[in-house]
Amino acid sequence: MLDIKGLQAGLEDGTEILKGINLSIGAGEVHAIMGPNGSGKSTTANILSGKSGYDVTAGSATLDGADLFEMEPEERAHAGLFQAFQYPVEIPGVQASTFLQTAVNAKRKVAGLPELDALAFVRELRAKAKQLGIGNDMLKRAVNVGFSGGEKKRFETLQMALLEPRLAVLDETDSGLDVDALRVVAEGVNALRSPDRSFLVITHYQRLLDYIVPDYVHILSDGKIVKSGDKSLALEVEQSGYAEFEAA
Amino acid sequence: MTDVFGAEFLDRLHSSGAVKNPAPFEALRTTGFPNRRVEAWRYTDLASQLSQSLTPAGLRINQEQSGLFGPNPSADAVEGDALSLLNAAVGGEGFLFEVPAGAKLKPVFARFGPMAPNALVNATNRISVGEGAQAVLVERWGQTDDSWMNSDTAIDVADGGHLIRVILVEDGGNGTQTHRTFTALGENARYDALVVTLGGGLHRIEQHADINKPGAHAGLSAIVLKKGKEHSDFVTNVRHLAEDTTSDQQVRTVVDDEATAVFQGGIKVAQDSQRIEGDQLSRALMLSDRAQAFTKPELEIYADDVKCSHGATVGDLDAEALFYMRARGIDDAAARALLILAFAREPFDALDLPEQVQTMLDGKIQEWLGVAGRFDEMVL
Repeated sequence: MLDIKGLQAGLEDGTEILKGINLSIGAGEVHAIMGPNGSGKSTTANILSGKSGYDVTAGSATLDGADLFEMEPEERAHAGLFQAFQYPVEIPGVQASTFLQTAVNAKRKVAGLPELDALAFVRELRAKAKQLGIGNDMLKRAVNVGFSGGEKKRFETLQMALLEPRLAVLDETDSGLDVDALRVVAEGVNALRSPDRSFLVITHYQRLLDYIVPDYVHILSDGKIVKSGDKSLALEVEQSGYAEFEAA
Repeated sequence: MTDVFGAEFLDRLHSSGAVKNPAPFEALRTTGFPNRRVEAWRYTDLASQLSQSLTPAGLRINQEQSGLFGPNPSADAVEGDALSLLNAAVGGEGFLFEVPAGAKLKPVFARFGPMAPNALVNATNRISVGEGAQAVLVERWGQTDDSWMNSDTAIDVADGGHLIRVILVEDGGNGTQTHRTFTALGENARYDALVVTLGGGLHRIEQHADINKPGAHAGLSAIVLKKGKEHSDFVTNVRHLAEDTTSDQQVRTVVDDEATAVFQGGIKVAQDSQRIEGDQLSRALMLSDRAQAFTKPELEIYADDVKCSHGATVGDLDAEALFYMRARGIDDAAARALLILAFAREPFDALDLPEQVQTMLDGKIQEWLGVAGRFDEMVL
């Protein structure tokens, strides 16, 4: 599924952030990357999805064997990559439902499937939105405009449910959420777990991993994965903090 | 006297026998047309218009509802510059649109075009909205060739009346449209105008509004979409001549290729006009390095208790929003079209447009973007 090998990357101004990341995620697996602020967690997510402002200086990342770094951001999405953003962008004037229909049909077109007309799309949209407690009023509004923190994360999850990615990268999905909102989002994510879909969960805190239970946990420190283990590693971090790993 | 700007154009007009009113013609013959040394015409050059040989022709009016328009009996010259003199000299008939006091009309649609190909069309129009009346008028001015349509429209909205007026200026050819509106507002009257200009060679649309009585409001907004070598000059001039009055100007401009768009926005507040609010916001999107957008706010304020705001921005599309959409699989061109559409729709918020009117304009914008029907608002 996802193979990251020797990935070194940084900002365009030359600042080094990732200093050789190796990570393999198999089909159906849930991996968590934990790490202190500034360790390179969000950079990893952004580089995978193709955000500008970064330079990859060495290494590779492939999804199902295809080189992600050779693709435009939309091509990565078509290949099955999905990033749930830490800070979803507000797009005034673009109706949430229109945005969703455009995204779904773009992906269907590339896959050689017929585009969904408004009626068929709305039927699917309603069903999936309902599971996440998203009502029509939210879908009529502009993308993320006036959404609360919880609504933004639920809307990210709805996008994931509609786009049915191969690999979902959740970037600090727990940030800004109270426990109730976190539970709704985590349930939405868990409902999408399947043998052919993988997750990379990026988080600072162990809390999220109580709800989205990972198969593997990796500790990222200063641009490198310094320790990997199972879910008990997350509890260890919760007990003792990141300091011992930073020393490594 | 032969060296005034446009002298040969006027000679040709005269020898074709088109001049019906000698007085305005002589006045025009003396002053000539404004050249670019005249401040109000600094960005717009009439040279190529004046080099044309156009045949004077009448205004063709297609109204979708019958009986609402009539010929304008009082085609007396209104205030204005050389182009109003040209209109008065050739004396073209226009339309009369009257809304009786207290009437509340469903949206009225009308199309205006030249009677003949490659014509010079002059028209003097009058719109009269009675006390407490409400009307939505959608005017579509269009042509498919090199015609020049030139008009003056006088509007009066009586006490408590409300006119929403959409002027869609759309050309399939390389033609010219120069239209001026002079509006007078009574007590608590409202005039909300939205100009949408698409295509054509040169469009200069002027909106002058005199707010004569307390409680009145003038909204003079525009959506300007230009590509190729098209040129647009949108001119506003609001005069707050009474206390407790408000005005709003929302201008959104999108320029591509080598197009030019100009906005000259005037707000004047007279000395004794207190408690005035005047807002003006001009935003331009540049889609090409060779496109040009000029914004010239002109505020003249002689009273003390006045809240006037004006802002002008010129920029590119929001890179964060573009990336967010592309990360969801929407290709760059579609993502741009969605953002431009959202931007161009912004002035809709300033008016209470009926849904059918908004849908029609929305369709026009999508067509201009080459995405006709793709991004219609979804009914949920």
